[in-house]
Amino acid sequence: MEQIAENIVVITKDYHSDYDEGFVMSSKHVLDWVNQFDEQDQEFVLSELLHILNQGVYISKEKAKEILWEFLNKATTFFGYQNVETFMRETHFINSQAEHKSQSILLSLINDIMLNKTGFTIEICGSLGVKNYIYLDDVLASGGTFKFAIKKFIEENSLLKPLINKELRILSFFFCTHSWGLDNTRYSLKKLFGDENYFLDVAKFPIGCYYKIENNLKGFNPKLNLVYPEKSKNEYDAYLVSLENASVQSDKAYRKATQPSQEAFFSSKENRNRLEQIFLDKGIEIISKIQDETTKQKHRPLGKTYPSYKTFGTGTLFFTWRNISNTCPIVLWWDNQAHNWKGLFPLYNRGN
Amino acid sequence: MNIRNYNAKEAIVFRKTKEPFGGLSNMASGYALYINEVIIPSSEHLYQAMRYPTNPEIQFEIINQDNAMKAKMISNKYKAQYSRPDWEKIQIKVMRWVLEIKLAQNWDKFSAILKETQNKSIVEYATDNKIWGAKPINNDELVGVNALGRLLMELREKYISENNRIFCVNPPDVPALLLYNQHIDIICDDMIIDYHNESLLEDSLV
Repeated sequence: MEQIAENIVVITKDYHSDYDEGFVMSSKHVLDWVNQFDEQDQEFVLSELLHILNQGVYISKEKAKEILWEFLNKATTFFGYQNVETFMRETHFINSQAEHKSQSILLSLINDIMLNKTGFTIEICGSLGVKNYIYLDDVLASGGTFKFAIKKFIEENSLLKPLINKELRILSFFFCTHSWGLDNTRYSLKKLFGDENYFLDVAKFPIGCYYKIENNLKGFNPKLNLVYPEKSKNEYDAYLVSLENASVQSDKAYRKATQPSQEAFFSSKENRNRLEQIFLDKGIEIISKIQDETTKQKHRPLGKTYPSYKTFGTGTLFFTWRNISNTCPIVLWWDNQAHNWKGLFPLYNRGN
Repeated sequence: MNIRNYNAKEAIVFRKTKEPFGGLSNMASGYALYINEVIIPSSEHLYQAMRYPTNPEIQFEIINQDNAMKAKMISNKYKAQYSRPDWEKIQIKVMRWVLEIKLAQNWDKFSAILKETQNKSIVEYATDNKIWGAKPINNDELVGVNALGRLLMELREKYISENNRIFCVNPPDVPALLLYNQHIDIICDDMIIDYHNESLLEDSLV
């Protein structure tokens, strides 16, 4: 187990390295975390987690810089500019989030990359007038944050007509998107703007990503590269029944046993089922220890989702050096002594 | 459906999508649909995909085309070998359903065009003898089944003349109405927006 833990540390070693809170990812921390699972599951949990991490679902700070630089170059070509500098001179980065949020941090990283690669800083953006807008963020899960930010930005700047008429363009980019949330977001924007089809057009309103989580059960052959359990135990149904305030999307609680059609994410179909059950069982156990009923209803064993959804949670398996999404299974981030649980990836700056 | 004659000067005849009333055509862009939480670029894409309920790969190829003409061409490539055997029997029902969804999900724009046709006959201009349109036989007359035009007139009568805003569309009475192996049930246009107005979910990592 020590060797597997060390291999996990090699991948995740810069987690929270930007903060001076004192956290350092170590083999001891990984082993302490896995020791909270039943003994017969511990080695399995670690080796399956390593298998998943080996597929590029952890973005280190160095990797983030590579991704962002590649994105800037691709966007430059996509929009037909000669080089990044001329592209930037006609581009504005949308900065709609609070200063400590991910968007601001990513923009600061873009600034560093640009300085390093071109000698210019982000200050040159828009210096020749703005023709392009870029919305940048780390994760799109439900799409809620993105949708409301884009709506507000378009409305406040009266951009809808020039966007439709192709006088201006918005390009959005995320490290990770969830396919279900993404399509819902596009459709939702269409409805919010009086049935405007612009938002459904992938060429006119492009939304790119480095990594895509395919979690639309009704989509074409989804990979389900996340935790999405199949129906297997009565306890799971009982948990869903206990979600008294949740009333919709219950048909999305479980994947079909035949999904995904081919296993390409976990190390095998059997190991998918086993890890999903372990994470779900432990997650339900942790949530059962929450005393306050409102808080209990707000959380889900497999990570946050809309409170009205009668599901086990989003099940995201994607991480960055900066933080973990609360849409990941709670065994990975829950930190509460009273619940006798400490997460593998401690949360930064977010209350439970 | 029987063959009919139409007076070209008194009817609304649509041919190309960029011309006036082009939005009535299934080939028109700007009328995307959302079925089973999958974005479908046009009503033609959906109609063609429904030919292949047991071949999700073909459906995916059709739906991934960036315009309706390409979607139809992909479908044409497969239809001799893979089209569902009862297609000719059910195609009108499927088309009626597709058009109802087009209207429900694009109410403002599509209902305005239908309203503009007033009470006139709607005819899809055709150059062949297929059932969907009508073909000119001289300067004044078009002849054909004009199934698409007739379905549009039916739609106009049912929803536009009565000012009956449609939100939900029931599936047609046909077996195996499938998209990517999933049954298509009632499609309601107003559902999704309510769920996604909840703002308690934090998306970004911090």
